[in-house]
Amino acid sequence: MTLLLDPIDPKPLDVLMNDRDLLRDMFTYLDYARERSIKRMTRTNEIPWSDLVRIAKLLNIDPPEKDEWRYARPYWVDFIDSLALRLDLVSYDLEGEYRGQTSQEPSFVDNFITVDETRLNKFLELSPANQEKSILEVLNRAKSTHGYDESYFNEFFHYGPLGNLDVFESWGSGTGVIPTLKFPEIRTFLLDLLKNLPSGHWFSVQSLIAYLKANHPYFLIPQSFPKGDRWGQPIGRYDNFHEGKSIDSHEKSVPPDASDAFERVEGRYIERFLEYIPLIMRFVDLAYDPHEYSGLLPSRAMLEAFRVNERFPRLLRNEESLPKVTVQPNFDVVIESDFYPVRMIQQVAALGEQVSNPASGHGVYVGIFQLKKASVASVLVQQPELNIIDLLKNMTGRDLPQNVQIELEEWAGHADQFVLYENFALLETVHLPVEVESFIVEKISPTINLVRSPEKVFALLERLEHVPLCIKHPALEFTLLEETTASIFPKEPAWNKSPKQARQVNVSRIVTISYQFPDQEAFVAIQKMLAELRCPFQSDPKMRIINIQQKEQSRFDEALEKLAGDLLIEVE
Amino acid sequence: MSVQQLLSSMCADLSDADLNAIRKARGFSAGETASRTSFANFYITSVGLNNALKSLSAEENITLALLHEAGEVDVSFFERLYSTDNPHGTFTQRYKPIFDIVKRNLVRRGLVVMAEVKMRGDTVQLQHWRFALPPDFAPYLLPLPTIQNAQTGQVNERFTRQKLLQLVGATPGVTNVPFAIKVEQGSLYLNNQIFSSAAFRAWQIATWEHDLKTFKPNVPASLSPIEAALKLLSSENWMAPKEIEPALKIYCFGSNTPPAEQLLRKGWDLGLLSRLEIASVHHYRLAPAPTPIVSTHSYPALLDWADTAFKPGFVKIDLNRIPLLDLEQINRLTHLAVENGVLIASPSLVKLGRASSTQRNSPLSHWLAQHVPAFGAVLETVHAKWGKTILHEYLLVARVRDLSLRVQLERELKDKLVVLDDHFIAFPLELRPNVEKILKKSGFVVKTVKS
Repeated sequence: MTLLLDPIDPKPLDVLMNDRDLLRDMFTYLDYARERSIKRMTRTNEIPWSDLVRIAKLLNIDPPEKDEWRYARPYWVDFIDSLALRLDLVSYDLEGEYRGQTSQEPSFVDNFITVDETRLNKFLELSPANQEKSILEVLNRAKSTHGYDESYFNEFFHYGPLGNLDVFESWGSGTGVIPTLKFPEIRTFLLDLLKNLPSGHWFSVQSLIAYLKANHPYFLIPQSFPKGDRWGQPIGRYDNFHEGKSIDSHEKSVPPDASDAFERVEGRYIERFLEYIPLIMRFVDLAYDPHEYSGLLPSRAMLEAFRVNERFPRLLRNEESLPKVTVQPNFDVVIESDFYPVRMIQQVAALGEQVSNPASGHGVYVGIFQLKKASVASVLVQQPELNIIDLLKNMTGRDLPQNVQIELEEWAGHADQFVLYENFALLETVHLPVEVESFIVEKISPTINLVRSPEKVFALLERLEHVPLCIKHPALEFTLLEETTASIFPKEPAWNKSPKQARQVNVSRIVTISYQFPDQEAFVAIQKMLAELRCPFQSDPKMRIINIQQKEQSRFDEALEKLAGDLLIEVE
Repeated sequence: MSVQQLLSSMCADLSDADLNAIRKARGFSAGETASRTSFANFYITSVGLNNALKSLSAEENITLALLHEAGEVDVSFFERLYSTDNPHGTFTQRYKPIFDIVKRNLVRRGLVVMAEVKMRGDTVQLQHWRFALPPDFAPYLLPLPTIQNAQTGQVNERFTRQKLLQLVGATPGVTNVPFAIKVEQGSLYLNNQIFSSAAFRAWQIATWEHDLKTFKPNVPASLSPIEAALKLLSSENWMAPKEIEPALKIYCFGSNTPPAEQLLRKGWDLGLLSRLEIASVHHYRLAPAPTPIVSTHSYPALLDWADTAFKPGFVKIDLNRIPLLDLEQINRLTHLAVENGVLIASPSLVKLGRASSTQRNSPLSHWLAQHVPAFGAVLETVHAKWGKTILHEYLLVARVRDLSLRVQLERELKDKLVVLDDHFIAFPLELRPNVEKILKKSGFVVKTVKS
């Protein structure tokens, strides 16, 4: 049966488009976890606030104020964190330990996030579309990471990281019909249904629900669902789904014989399903009723419309096109791709710097990078055999602009302008024995050679009776050698041995005048007046002494004059 | 906080009553105490110091000497001097009475500096108070009673020689202290370190501690009885055990101090102390530090510990006679071996090459060159070759192809850089970040070659 849904105008509705690129955000999180060791919180096993804020900033998410964190955690970061765990790209302890006999919850001590490099490399080998498919598969089959809440880890009871809708109260969801439902199959069925819709057109959610009611009334709960649970208690079709005036109400379940029972249960599921995988993976955009909801909770029919995006059918139909790379004469490298091409981005990003924030993930990925001399040289230092011109040619599928190619050739020579030799020693000698030649790495001059294995060289020279001298230079300067040594290194200066000469010191003379005041009142008054006249002074409150420099005498006298009305001060 | 800072802080915060008490005790004039700032300078002068110190008890004097060693302390330090009535109370209950006595007896007498210092971790207000003795007062502290006597006394060399003879298998081990003495690959080792008189002294002290089963107490500023004895005894004047007893009690507060007579006798047994009988009582002082027979001038033609006629090119060493410093030096200059229960030295180009120029030109080296021709020949070779082959370690070497970069590095690093040739430079290890900063600024990158 063809899926024919009612078109809808989204203008009067509140449109929600997901601008998060799942792959980009996950790789940003993984880079962060690799560079900084994240220790999860001991009590809650969540990412600590400081790391959460840093990751949120990297993902261009405005973090909430710290004092609001309990209520306004950026759930998207937590979702990315759990996704990486479900993909086995990271690992950390989920069990914890009960640290005392009265502990009600486990503690997670020194629980660091570890990135599994092998699995990550394997994941990176997949094409971007296949990476997205892996994520789809994982999300489709996702179970709770906590054994005890597995039965309510589905769209009915679990909030989506991006959605607006509330959920059913999970009370009693461990029994009844819920544990018997096969959510992966349900989601696959719905995704298969949606992939055939034309992309870019808004459709009514209610028409989708009506279509399902008419054609697939048992897509969620089978007609022949078990009539009893494992304890022999009878199961009603909608026993698990409670409505009420408050979200945690669980007194009244939806009656199965009600004429709108399907809309009240399956209809609500469809709304929440659209908010989960399809919205998270940018398969759909959603449009909500802008008015406040006033019926029984959880809300119903608030999600009014949805639109399928192009990337959805493309991914499910395996229509992945190769990323398009263009190198421009101004050294910009532009990457365009249907899905986030992390491998290619890593390669190009290493050669320069990103000059534009990639377009928000709604459409295709577009990233612009500019090639930089130091970055190119740095890559060549690490991979001397890499031919960057060929690499870029392979990516673009055409020749590079001539000026770019010429510059890249010149930059390639830049990589070995400064070669640093670590853990070698310098051997200075006029008579170099043949036996030492096998240790030489570089012949610097006729008398200076760079050698490896200095201990062996020293022992060999001793054995050959060359009377070698081993100088272990301190970390910050050179050891000064004796004058009789034949070396180009600094030697003890002759003045070291000459008698010490007196050092000339020039001292400036400052004459300070002190005035001691007999009482606190006069002392405070003169201080205030001096400060008003901007006269620098020092005071000793205990002794009531004011010190001024001689050159400030005129201002001090001025202060006395100004105080003459209140205090008749006479200096003895 | 330095003593000077404590002093400034104390002078600024002193109450007028305390200031007057100090003025009276030390005999300062009213003008000298008029300014708190300048009073800090008058305080550390010698004015009235001798009289103030004379008014102290012997124990207080000794405690001040230990305070000088310890530097800055809190009030618990004075528990060794003024015992507490409430040893199991809180810090304040335990030390408040002591604090009051210290303030009355030492601070208000102008001898000890005291100031409140807020430090992290100190929760009790009394712990904030810090005390110190100005270093300028140390020379004025009254010394322990000693006796001057021109006689050199006796030094017991028996244990020293027994340990050395152990090397040639002449005696069994003298103690259970595991300081093995052995000759290995031409060198003499004590406790797996190259033999030296300092290492030997460390063995003597370890033996002393081991035999008397003493230890350093876990009390701040307290010393072990051995450390205290070595600090309290003079190298010139003689001291009877009973004179050192009270000082030991204070210096070793919290330790199991043996009777002074037993302690000093053991030190003498081990060769660390000299002993002289004065008025039928054994008196002790530090044994003279080991010195070569003649340290600055050339050696006599005949050395009683060296036999050059033993074998051509070899010197036979008499371990019963050789001074420790000579043994240390000959160990650095020659190849040593034990043959048929005899320690012998032969010329070694390697060891002479490793020796410093002072050691190569020492009187012993000259003596060996004169009396052992083979040694003279080797010494001549070393003199001729020394300093001609140099191996430089712990440096960074870099090849710089870009001339402008090299010039920039030379200008920035100045004398911290050596130009090896047109393309190579060397610089100290810790300057790497500076070099990398210059490179980054100029748009260059570092290519690293590791050994």
